[in-house]
Amino acid sequence: MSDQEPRNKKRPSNVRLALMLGAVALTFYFAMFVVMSR
Amino acid sequence: MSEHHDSHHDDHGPEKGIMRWIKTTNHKDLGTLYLWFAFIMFFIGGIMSLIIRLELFSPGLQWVNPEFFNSMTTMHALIMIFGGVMPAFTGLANWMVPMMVGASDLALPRVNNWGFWILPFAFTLLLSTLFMDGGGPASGWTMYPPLVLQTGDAFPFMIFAIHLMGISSITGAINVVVTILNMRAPGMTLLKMPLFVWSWLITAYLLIATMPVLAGAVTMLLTDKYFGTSFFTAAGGGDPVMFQHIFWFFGHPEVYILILPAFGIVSTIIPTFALKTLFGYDSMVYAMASIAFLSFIVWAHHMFTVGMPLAGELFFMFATMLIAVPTGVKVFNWVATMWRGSMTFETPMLFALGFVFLFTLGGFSGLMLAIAPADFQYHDSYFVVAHFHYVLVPGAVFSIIAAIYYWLPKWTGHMYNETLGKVHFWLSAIAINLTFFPQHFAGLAGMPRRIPDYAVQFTDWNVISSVGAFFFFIAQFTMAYNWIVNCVMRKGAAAPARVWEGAHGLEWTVPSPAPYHTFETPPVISDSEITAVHDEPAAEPSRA
Repeated sequence: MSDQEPRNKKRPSNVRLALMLGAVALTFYFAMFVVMSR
Repeated sequence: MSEHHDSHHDDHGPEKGIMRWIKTTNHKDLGTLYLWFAFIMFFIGGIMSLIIRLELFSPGLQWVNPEFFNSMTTMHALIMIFGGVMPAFTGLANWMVPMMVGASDLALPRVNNWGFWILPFAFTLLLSTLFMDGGGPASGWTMYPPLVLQTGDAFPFMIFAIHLMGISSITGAINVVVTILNMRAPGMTLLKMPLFVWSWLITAYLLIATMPVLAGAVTMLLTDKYFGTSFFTAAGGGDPVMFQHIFWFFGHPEVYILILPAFGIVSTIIPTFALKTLFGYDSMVYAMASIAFLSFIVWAHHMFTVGMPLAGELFFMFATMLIAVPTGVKVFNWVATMWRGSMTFETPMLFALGFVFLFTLGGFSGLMLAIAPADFQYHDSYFVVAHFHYVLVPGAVFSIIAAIYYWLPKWTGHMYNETLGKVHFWLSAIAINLTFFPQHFAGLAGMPRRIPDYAVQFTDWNVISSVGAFFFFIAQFTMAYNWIVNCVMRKGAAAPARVWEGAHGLEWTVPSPAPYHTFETPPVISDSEITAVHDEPAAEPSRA
């Protein structure tokens, strides 16, 4: 089994899950500027 | 996967020389690098604390000028938090999370390499500021404007260093979440995971949610200073108090980032040396999740004196006190695990017990600080310094030391010297109380924090505290000798695969030292290796 594939097939792949979490982090970062610029 | 491919992987060891460490994507190598990095940073941050304690040994100014003193308090905090405790926990996660869940490595090994190698650059940048015009950053690790905006050339370097540390933490956290959610061995359901893994899963979510907030706040400081914005500058319509809200919205969850992995470590060590399964596994998980949730709604207890509406003071006071409930559940469960256990007191257990006693003491002074009307007296006093050092040194740092004594024989294949380990514990436990207990009294009597000089009536407490600090620093050389000579240089006795009689978990099923690659094929998990025992199904047979 490749490490790049989730062992539970219902889950997103490792890279996709990492990108989703990274997008959450970036959203928090930029949301700060949106809120503070109001 | 073909047979040929399998055998190729079995033979694949580490590269030779320095390039092994620069290019490595192996979770064990990177765990080792993180731990060595943290070790060096603890040493540098420790030297800074000694400079602080040397100056405070007697009233008046004798060794350093006030600007340099402020720089030392600021850099000591930044280095210990971001360079010491956090990388040490990340190193432990690197080593242990894949082995504990039965994965071959972390999910994103190259990202893991990048996440580590950012750190030496970040801290070189930060430390280089000490040699710049105007000296290092000196406004405290909280970086409150408008004071922080007076920083000299060090300012952009500090901000960039914090950005790099944040990127490193977020990539590490993403790696941990993906590994835990996607790469557990078959049968390792979430509620069968070792508690160290649970503690890191929750910590990783906290990191992903809060580090970008810190990054945003310091970016706004940067634009306020150099690009004419007024996020926090009152003269341009900004609000300096808003920075405090944003900083502590990051800063309070950060406190739990520094302590949740410690909870996981102590929950692993105590059952091993009590020869019992952990009491209340499920409640431990729920308690950690509750603490993580509550950590987002208590931030303003750090700024009670800033002038908030009464309703705000009350909300943050009661929400903060609520944290004592899940924390109390955890302390109760640790004690209940030891109740009628066949306890032995090897060095990791001594440090774990020291944690339970002394961290709880830090928790109690935290409750005192949570009382808003009382906080007006304690705020910015040495009482606060005593409180958070009790939580962080015999709390977070003791847990890191306990974890390394516990797992180092597994990593290196060699035992540390038990007598020397016990000497190290007792010297550290005595020294830490000498250092920080008197600070409660100095604080209650009115000594402010972050000052290089003080009124003469505080002298006695400060003398004891300074002697304790030097004593603690020197005591750590017994630890360094024990680990380096006996384990790293392999002079100690050979360690068996299951180093501790009462230890359960997948990491003890592989030989000591742990092979370079483990669990290339997902392991079959036997019941005896599952550390979790759930409370509900009473029919489940006891393994005791």
